Amino acid sequence: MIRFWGQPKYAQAERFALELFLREKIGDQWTFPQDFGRFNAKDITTLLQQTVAAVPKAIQMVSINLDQPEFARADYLKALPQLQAQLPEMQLCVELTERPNGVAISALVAAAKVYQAGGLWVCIDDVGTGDNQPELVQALAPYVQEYKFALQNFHDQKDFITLVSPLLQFWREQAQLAGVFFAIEGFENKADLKIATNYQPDIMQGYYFGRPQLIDVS
Amino acid sequence: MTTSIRKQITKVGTVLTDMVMPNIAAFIACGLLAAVCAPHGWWPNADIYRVVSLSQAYLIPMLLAFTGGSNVGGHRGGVVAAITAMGVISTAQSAAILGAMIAGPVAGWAVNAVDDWLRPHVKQGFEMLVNNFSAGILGILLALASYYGLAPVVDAGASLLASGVANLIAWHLLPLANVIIEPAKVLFLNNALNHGILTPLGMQAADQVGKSVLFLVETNPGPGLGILLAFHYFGHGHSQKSAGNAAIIEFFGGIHEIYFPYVLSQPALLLAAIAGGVAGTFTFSSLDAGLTTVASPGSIISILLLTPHGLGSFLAVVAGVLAAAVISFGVASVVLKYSHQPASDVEVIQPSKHAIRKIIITGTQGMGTPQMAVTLLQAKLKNLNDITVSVVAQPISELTPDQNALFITRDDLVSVVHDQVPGEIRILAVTNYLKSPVYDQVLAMLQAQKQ
Repeated sequence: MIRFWGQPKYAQAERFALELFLREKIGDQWTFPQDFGRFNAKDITTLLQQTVAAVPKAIQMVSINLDQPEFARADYLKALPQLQAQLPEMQLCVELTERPNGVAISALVAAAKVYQAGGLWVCIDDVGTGDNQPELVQALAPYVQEYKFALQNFHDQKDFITLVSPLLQFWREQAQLAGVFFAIEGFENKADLKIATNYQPDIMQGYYFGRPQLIDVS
Repeated sequence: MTTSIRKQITKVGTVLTDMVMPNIAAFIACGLLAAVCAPHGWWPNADIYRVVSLSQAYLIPMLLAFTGGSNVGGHRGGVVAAITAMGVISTAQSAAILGAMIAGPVAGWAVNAVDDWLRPHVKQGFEMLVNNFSAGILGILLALASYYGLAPVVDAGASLLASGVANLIAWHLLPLANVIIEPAKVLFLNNALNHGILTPLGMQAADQVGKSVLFLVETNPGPGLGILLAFHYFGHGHSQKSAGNAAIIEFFGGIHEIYFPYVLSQPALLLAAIAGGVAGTFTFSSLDAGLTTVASPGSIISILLLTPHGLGSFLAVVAGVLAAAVISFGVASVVLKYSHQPASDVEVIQPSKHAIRKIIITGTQGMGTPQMAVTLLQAKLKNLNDITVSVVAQPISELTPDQNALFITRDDLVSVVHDQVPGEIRILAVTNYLKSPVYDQVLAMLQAQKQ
């Protein structure tokens, strides 16, 4: 059985969106699926539709994560815009993960274009990490609504502040130049909040605001 | 009274209220400083009192005019209104505040009219030059019109009212003087009446018998107290929330100006002010109440301090204040009960003849999606050439009326916006700030407006 777990996203003090994480129940445990490729677009969009029906009314957007192969796969490119058309009061967002899978930049750009034309938002997850480097980000920029910076990727490193500050500055400026929303995820404590709010994120997310919780669609 | 006439009166009242309400702090500053430093104050100081008299002469009329002008014509409208107000201030004898309150919105309207006329003829790159010169020249013309036209008219009106009050006093119909005084008060002609008629006549009487009822006619805090309490118990929205605090400031602080916007917002409340004033003055006259000198400000504390010694004198003064408060409370409660329009009866969008110059996306304090919606709408507007409209996000609690604004809010917040911004406003409702067909509707409205 698969279900989405939702983590809240905040705009200022408003809990306005959920990032949905796919989890699979094996025995009594909810686990991280080892291979997302074995789910087809229909499985995901059916569950997504059920999930949207179950979220609170104040939620205006839900986002799902897709790795590069799924992001550019024909069944997703067809099913997600169709689902968006059926959900006029909910903004759907596709977050392109940073995991390197070798899909050509041109294929990802073409896919982003299709999602944008279908009324979906595209978010580039974990900018500056993995494959989501400036070259890809700039190529995708015209079709993207959100750059997301992952603070948690730097938490275990020494000199966290001196390391993360210039990166936050860089990606904040990139978002500004591209005219897209700047999101920061990975807020774990007040110190994170103090550092990162200097970069005026439009969207904030992290354990400090709320942990992922199972969305019951039964 | 037909609905359209009532709407027009309410509209005028709303324009006046929106000029006064943001500037209440200036009235409080002047009132409190006057209480301390005025010639009849607690610690008279002629030098410091100059701050009060100059503020009353220049600062308050300018603030009101600027606010009135900017409410209609944006910041430039406010600047032109301030220039225009100087025309009234430099020559009006006693009615500069009323003159400035007329000059402000008129100047704002004139700025919009001139802009609409000039804009199609201005070449790209010359906008700033034309905007500044047109505003400056318009300011000169309106200041001259105020100097030679408006100021003599408002002065003549104030003199007429003052002579009416003087005649009623001469005919021994003192309680009826409040029929003139109360409406004149809410139009800020209180000083003209007080210093022009009531104080000089009161001083003559006090010299002879040691007290005068004339010192109580305009300074009685009872009518204002009754109206504010009625708002507190039977009002709606923002005015209800603020009325309790305003009552304390009015009754104990003696800053009567604080209740004027409440009356101006619903001019039928003048009946409550008049009824309360007449009842109070009738009670004072019947019980032979009076003060030894002028009470400034008209707070219950300074009034009691200036009451001649003797239990009878105190009881007479308190009875008059109470009678005024009770009667005005009763009348105001009835007016408020019958004048409230339920939010469900309000159309979501009201037609307006004013051009859209500003789009305000609004929500409750702390909401971030209205700000995100600003970015989304601005991106859509980029595709429209030659349409200059500002798009901003603002919390509902900070909204003020703006005839040139189009408000966008979430569907469940429409009635809250109407409570905050009474009167006719353009408002569109969205169910989702991030995704709404309303934004395309806005583009269509702006394109239609351009044609």
